[in-house]
Amino acid sequence: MGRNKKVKVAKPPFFKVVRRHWMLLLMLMPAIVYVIVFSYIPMTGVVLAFKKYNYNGGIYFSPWNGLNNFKALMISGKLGMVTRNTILYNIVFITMGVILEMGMAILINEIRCKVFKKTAQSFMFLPYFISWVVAGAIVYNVFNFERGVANHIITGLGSEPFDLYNSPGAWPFLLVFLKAWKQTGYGSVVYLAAITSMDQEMFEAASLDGASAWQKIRYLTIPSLIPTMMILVLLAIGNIFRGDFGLFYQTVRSSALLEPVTDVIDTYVFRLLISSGDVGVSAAAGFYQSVLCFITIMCANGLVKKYNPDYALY
Amino acid sequence: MRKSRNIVRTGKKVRLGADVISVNILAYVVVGAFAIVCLVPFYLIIVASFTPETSLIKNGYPIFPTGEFSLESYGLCLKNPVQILWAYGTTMGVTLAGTCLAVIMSTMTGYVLSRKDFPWRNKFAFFFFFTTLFSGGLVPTYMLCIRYLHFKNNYLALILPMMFSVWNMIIAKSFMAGIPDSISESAKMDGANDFLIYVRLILPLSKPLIATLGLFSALAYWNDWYNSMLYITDEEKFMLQYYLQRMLGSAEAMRLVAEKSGMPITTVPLESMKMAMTVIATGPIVLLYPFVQRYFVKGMTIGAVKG
Amino acid sequence: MKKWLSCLLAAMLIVISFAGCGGSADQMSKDTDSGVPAGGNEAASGETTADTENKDVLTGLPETLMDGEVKAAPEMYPNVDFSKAGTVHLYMIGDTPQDWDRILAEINAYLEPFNTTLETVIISWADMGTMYSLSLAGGEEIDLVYTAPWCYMYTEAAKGSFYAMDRSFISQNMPLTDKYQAETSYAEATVDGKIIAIPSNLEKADTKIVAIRQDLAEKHGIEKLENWDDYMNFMLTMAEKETPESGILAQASSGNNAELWEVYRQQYDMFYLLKDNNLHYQYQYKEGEIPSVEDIELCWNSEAFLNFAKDMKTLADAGCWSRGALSGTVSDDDAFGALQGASIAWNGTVFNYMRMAEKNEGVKCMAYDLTKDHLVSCEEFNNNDMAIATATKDPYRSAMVLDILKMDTYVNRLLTLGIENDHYTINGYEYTRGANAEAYAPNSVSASWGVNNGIYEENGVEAREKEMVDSWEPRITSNPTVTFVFNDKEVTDYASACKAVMGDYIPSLQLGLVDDVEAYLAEMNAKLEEAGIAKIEEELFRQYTEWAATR
Repeated sequence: MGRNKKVKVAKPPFFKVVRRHWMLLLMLMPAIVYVIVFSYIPMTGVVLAFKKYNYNGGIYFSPWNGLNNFKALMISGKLGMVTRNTILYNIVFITMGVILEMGMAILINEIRCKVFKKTAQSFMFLPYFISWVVAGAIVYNVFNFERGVANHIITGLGSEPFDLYNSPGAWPFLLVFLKAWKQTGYGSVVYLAAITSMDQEMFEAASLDGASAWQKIRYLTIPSLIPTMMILVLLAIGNIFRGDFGLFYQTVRSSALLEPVTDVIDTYVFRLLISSGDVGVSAAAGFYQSVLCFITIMCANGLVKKYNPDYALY
Repeated sequence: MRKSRNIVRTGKKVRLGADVISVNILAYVVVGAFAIVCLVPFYLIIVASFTPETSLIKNGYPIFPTGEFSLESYGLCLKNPVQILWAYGTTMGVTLAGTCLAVIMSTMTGYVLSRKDFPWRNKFAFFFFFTTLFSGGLVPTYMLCIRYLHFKNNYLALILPMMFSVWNMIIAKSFMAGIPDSISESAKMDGANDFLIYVRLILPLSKPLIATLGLFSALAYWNDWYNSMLYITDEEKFMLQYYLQRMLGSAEAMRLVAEKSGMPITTVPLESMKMAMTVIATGPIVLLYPFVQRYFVKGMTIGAVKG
Repeated sequence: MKKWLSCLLAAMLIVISFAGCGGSADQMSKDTDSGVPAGGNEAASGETTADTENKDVLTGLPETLMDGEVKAAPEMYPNVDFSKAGTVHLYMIGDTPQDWDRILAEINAYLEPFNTTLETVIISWADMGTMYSLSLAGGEEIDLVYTAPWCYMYTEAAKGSFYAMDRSFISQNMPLTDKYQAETSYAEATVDGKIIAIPSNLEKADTKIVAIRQDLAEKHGIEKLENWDDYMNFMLTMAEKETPESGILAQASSGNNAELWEVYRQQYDMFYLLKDNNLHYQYQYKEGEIPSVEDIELCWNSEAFLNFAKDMKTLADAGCWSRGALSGTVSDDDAFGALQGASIAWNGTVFNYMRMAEKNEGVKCMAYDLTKDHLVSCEEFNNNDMAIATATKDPYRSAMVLDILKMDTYVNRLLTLGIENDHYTINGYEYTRGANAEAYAPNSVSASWGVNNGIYEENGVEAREKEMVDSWEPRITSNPTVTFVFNDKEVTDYASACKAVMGDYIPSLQLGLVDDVEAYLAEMNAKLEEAGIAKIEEELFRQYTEWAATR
């Protein structure tokens, strides 16, 4: 931050910037207007987190409610647990995401057979279209205790059948697998775009210098993917306190046994409000997540900026 | 660029070292294996969608097609073929228009923010990014769109809410930051303005980016049912995913309600319908996009050069 | 940087103040809106002459709905300004029937003398969760709305989304309803002394029964089921003999066993004081007496539930249903219809599933009432209601339309049964589905449940179904506390927390998928304690004592 500030002090004042860059500002205009209309104006609705909503008052004139909406979230004493689960799962998802997506992109790029490449890529997109509801149904059927395929195989091998819905320990692995299954094909596209736009002469030169294929991946491809990776990781960190509702709800459903390992903030709030539908409490939950995300991303971005300003989000 | 790449390739072919072979084996095995992992569930879905509901419930999802074959679920999903065609039409139109607009918005904004000589770029980046952190919830947005933007039964309601994605914009920004500054600078020397630089120089250099963002936007529009739910009541304007979603959701919710209210209900093959729906909604875009993609990117960049 | 920031701040402020202005403008308009009923009520009480006229107009009407045709006339509604044309927007839930446009056109033709047009929006089942409250809050034109306890009635009432009425508003603006609606029904939709919705005018038996695969029972030597022990025996026999042979489960439970628990409960002649998303309080029925506070207990802490949970564990351990039943994706009823389960528990709807299963060759099903010697409770009036939205611009006109929909014989039949001689034919009060019933089935839109008077009976019901329904008739007993409505606004947060806890624990108990029933119950009770169940009970008992004192 400090380094940037120095540069800015030297920069010309407001109107000079406007005069010099009016075209750039004009190009920004559509997005600015868009964001104000569709994000900033509705964003004033966050006041609901501190209000007791009623019809006559609407969002802005309902009576204030202090921190009662937040208290409602904490009554059951589970908020800490679900927050921990959310963040732990997201850390694993982000790490797995980076490794798998980047790895897959690099490997896809190595494939020379066009037909194979295109077909494989198309297949990798299929999971993106399978909604979590359907994915949940498949998991249930494959792992069904009595007639699931998985247990047929296991018992066929002479082992005891496996009762997935009574084994909390297995769920973190399953959920990570499902997330990776659904996300990898989609996520690797960004890395592929970055690879295809890399300077090919560099590779040529490296080949002439006798670099092996592995060395080229290790010393050329991966380092040049770092900026893309940093951006994607930072974007993901900006959502680190938000759980993938579909994944956690549709595959697990409600089960007290599995909850300690599968409940995230979003599913917890959903269950809490399923009967009362209190908009104030749900706004409070959203606000809680937003503030935590905000703090995290400010720290993360600040750190990255200190290390290399080019990789920072803003 | 393409040429130099080919040279590398032919060069490689001449001396195919052990390293290249090992990388290739790994690539084919891993990518192939993962593609199969992605394909198997979809295969299960297709088989299940053609299996009679009773057999699905009784025996679970078959691995191989059973002797019984049923088109009941497709029959239900497609019971109103004219509507399905309308829905396909709306979805394609909205996807195409929305994707073009979304790509233009995110690349144009991303380009401005990638310009290192633009002193406010970080502040604007933050201004945009901030919107992904805080949201006022559904009610204010809905009120704004209904009362002031008159979104009810308006095609704009399907296009506008997803037209600008900060996520895509930041990807565009980071991609364009990788384009050497010398290109913009030399053009500036020749007196080109910023917009022309973006259109004539930057866009043609960003084909992989356009393809990626185009893909993301197209998928997002294609899969969107939420905005249809909020703003569309006119059945002729339904998007495909919403149309199917509604049919399934109705059947499911009706059962829940029936349990609570004791109202008699009719029965619907829910399980196989879910599967058939996935197939109907997924098929076209997965089959079409790889082919359309090239033309789309070409169109965007040619348009850019001409414009 | 500072300058820039201040610019941004200024911009934000402007934006916010704009939004604020918009909001305050709404506020103002809402204030004037809500001013109407207050002023209107005064006006109405001033118009005593109109009131007496009103009564004259009603003299020609039949004594009850079953005594002849009821016809609404503009003169009955003195508070509606007929010189101006008006539109009433009715929101309801469900699938749009194929012939809905025809029905609506007929209704509108009928409403012409009233200078009123009815417009409808039908929220799809699938979108109900989001769109219902959004439509009420989002500033659309909405006058009449279908509601029910399972359809956010009390949640929305707590937010003030429904126009609060009192008994005199109804007698002045809804004369036909005033005349024919069952007087006790209002209390069920009264919150804080205000009537928030008009319940349907229909009370019917609500008994839970079981349906079994008779062919399988006979195969294993079981003739019929008389009571719970027979049922247990049947289940265990199925699990022991049938499941290994054919793979058919004794019951293909999915998610929970809530309906079976209701069947079991009936043996104890318990009535509910409060039934709200697992927050179920019950008491022992004693000849119509109002129970004392000490007799009220949380269902899940009752002796009955403990025994039930133990029985369920026996069944689960014997393999009567899947060990993954908790996360099942196919409902037990569908599974029964698809010959995957040998039994189900539910209300009269089981007959539908029995017919479905019997489409297969050799399959014979039978429904049994396991609690023949016990009370049959009634379905409450307020299971389906119609409310006037607070957003309405003309509550009197809305009330008039609702009155007509509910009680005018012609319009009521249009809505509940369709167009005569097309969708149905009628003989007295017995109707038969017509040739075109596919396009508009009887009672197919939610509004038709909300305006149902329960006076039409369908012809051609299966003998076994009719016999079952008739057998309930002499045992039907009204719940003496039915008019008690718990208002949880003081303890909403605790209630949510407790319901969430119960939602986690009850299904496992009902499905017997626990190692130790008592320990699991104790664990749940500890969690409930933490979530503040004591506060809820305190409030519940306080309100109940107050209510009981007025009896």
